[in-house]
Amino acid sequence: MNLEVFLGKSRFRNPLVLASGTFGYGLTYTDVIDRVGAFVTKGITVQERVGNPPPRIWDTKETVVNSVGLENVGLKRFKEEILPEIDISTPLYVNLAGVTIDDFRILIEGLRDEEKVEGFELNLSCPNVKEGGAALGQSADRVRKVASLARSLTTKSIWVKLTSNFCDVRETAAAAADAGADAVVIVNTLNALIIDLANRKPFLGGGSGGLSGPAIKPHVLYMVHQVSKQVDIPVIASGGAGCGTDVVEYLLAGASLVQIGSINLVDPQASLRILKGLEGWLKREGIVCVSELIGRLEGI
Amino acid sequence: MKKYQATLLENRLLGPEIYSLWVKITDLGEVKPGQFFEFATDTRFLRRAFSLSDRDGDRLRFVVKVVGSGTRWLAGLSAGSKLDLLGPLGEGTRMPSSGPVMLLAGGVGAAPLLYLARKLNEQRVEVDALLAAGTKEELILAEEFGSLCREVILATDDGSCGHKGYLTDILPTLPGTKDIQSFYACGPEAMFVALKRLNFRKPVYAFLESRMGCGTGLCMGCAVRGRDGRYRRVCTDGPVFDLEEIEL
Repeated sequence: MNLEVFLGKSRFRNPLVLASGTFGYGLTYTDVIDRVGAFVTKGITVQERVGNPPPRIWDTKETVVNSVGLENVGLKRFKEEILPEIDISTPLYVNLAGVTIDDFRILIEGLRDEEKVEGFELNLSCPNVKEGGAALGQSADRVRKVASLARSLTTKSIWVKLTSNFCDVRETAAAAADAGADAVVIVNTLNALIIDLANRKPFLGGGSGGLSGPAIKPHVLYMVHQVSKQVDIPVIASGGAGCGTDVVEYLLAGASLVQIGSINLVDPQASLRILKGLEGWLKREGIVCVSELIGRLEGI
Repeated sequence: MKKYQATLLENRLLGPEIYSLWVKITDLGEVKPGQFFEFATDTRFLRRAFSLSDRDGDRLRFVVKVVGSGTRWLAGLSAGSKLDLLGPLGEGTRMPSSGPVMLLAGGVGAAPLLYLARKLNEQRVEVDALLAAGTKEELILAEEFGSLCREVILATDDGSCGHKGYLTDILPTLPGTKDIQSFYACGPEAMFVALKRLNFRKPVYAFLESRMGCGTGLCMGCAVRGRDGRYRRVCTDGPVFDLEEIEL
């Protein structure tokens, strides 16, 4: 059975990608990282960020809402303290969380010569910072500007992680493709508000948060399908996948890779179980190459 | 950290909405006081974290206070039920080099301190406990502490058992606390804030509770602000912190 997926010249041993913000910086659980197709770090900003005050997380049976607020060590410490410690055999993608367009220039220039870094995921979609981020991702023009800038600065892979909040993700994805991005990631968390009824205030310390988990999968499947029909670059799905057949569904809808996110918080080894489930399904269906499934949804 | 399938051996009411769960886990190594396990539930996506409260070989005790649907589900389980657990997680606490030490428990905060009392006992470190709760019914595990401690002092907010008043009001009035080398405290946040104000000249180690995401350091969901302004992970940097080192 062949689980390999190619995105342009990049090879992935299987279609699973550990999603940014759900697997730290890649310093722990490396036995899991070494079994998936790619790993994306926690979002890195130019300056260190302490993140939002607690509480930062809330859940129901099918959802997680987080408001971590991009807590991270910043570019300098990431480069000097974290990156030298990362020891994985899986392609390493660094999630870059710029607040301004110029931040993306600084981040890419700071990391583009690092051999360990396979590529960048441009975070144009974090709902948990008040400025930049998501605002950049809500306009096709701004997505084009950031992605073009990134393309002009590096030959490494560029993934653009988009939002479906307050914008047409088909248009922003097309803009990223026009600008030369290698793939688009559909989508970051959905805007969410949790109310602390007793105090008539937002429950989360950051005010609002980002919704993820199994409940958003039908929405993201739809978005992945729509975007994959719109653009001719690979689409990477990100939205509540928790088992092997979820991955199959995303591949059928048009995704080439599938990010595994919230479920990592329930079990850091969830990806291994998902991989096993995927292999089992392929075997039962008699499918030899996983890439045969990509975009093969019928009757729509 | 490993994933375990545990069997619930006993589920007993300890106090109002407070349950004592004994579970069986085989092949479990050493667990440090303060370390915790994450329990999967049928009603919530994320696991719920509980510190180990006591241990007898492969039998582990946890105390669950019902605060939402996840804990309600756990409280409703009967003996023989299977549980999906991750653990042991967290750094646990540093053990004191010498005694005597004093344990300060507010409500269900008594739970992780009982396991610490047992470990201190094994190491022949003298230990006292001050157990406080809102009412007599909410005072838990007093008998167990009694078998492990040099002295157990009880207090309730309403005076229905032991001293009347908050733990932090009673503590300064107690005779014989001068020889205490370190304090280990677990309780509501207000108790830690009041303990900070008491300004002991001895170390106070705070067993923190937090709304957690993963419990494994991956999500940065459980945060407590350090004195330097940066957040610490309650799960992997704690859950026990020197009270001096954190801002509440």
